[in-house]
Amino acid sequence: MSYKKIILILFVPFLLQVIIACCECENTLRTLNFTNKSILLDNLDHSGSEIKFSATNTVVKEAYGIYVRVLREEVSFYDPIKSLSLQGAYACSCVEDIRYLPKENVTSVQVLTLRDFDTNHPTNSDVTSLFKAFEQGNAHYEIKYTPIVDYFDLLNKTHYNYGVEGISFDIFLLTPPSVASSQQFMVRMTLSDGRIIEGVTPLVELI
Amino acid sequence: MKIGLVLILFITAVVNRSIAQDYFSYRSSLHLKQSVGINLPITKLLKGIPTDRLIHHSDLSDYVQALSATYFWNKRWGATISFQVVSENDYEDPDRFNQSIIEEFEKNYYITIDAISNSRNFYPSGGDFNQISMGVTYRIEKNRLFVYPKLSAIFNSIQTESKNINLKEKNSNNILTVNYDCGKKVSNYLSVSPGAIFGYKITKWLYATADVQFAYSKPNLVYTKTTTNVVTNAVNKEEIRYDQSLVGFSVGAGLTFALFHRKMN
Repeated sequence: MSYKKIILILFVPFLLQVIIACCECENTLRTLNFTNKSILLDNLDHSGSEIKFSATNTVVKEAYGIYVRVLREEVSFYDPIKSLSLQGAYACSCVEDIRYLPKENVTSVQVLTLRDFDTNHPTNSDVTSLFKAFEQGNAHYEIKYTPIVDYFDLLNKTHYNYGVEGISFDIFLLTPPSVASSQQFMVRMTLSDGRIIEGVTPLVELI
Repeated sequence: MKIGLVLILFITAVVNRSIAQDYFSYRSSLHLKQSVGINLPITKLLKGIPTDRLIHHSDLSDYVQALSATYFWNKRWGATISFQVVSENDYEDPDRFNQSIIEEFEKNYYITIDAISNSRNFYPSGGDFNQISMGVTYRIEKNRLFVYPKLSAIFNSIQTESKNINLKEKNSNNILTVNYDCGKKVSNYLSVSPGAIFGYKITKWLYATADVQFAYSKPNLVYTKTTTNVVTNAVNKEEIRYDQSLVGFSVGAGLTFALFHRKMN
């Protein structure tokens, strides 16, 4: 038997494995649209070393915050027309990337007080400027409070592979009222399609 | 009393032997020396404040002279290069810095401390040696006894660490970040060092030595403490300077291997 035949025989299992394993990955990037549906709020207690949900809804007023969760829903699926000239990629396994695009933009975020906050902020006043969003980077020291008007751009960003279940962030009261009081807040988002979505915190005793 | 008598007899014998034999003097052209000793400060670099713990330095320290090589190009004059490792007696662990911060702030704040970088990953310019010296040596020998006055320039390397501290105020949303940074991982400075080596030639090849050396230097380490109020973004910077003149002396003992014996002029 010539050495060429020996090499051919040795190659047969390898070729068989390649033929069996390969599959066609037509388009590994899917695009989904999502819409902002509703807002859930909860009271946060930042008096300790960590941020916690307030179990008793009684919080030191200098350490009060609001947990904001924006619930989203998938509304459409964009399936691109396959190219006639280009072949899909071939690989032994296909990993699908999903791109999530907002159907509408958030144009404003407001925090309103549903109780008399202080003498300058009676019921239904806009108290957005008294709160800031809390951001923490990978390292402990990468911490900052961002004005809410600068923060909501995050809600309009395209993102990849995180799902549409919702996005959450924490806002903290950095200018508390001078006296202890019972408070309740509403977060209102205005969307570019004209809708307004709102959420209300549980009643909280700021002590 | 008996010990004193024995000692006097021994010294007399040694001196007699030294005077009697002069066949070792000014013969060797290369001396390789190893020694150990102690550095005694007259003035101190460290101030007894928390940032001291970020500086890998001890005012009172031991040293190991791994190698000192002196080449005598004539009967009297030689050039010396030495490599030394200096201990960090006072420097135990960055935990001591952390502890001092905790003691200062724990009453009102929750504390998180991060090291920006661990300086143990960085090495001084001299590799594992934190002192490299170069200088000239003058040779005075009388039989087995000798004294070598010398003048050296010492290149010192001090490793420094940086720290970030988060101070979360208790019962408040208020957060401060405090950053201690020296700007560079290794700080180098130069010392001028006159000194002398005293010794006794045990054999033609092996000498016992005692070193005495003074050193003057002026390091210029500056730590910047930056305190940022995360709520108001107000920044406060404070400089902590380690720039006082350092004066100290060291004493040590070792062995010298004398090589390349020849008649020198």
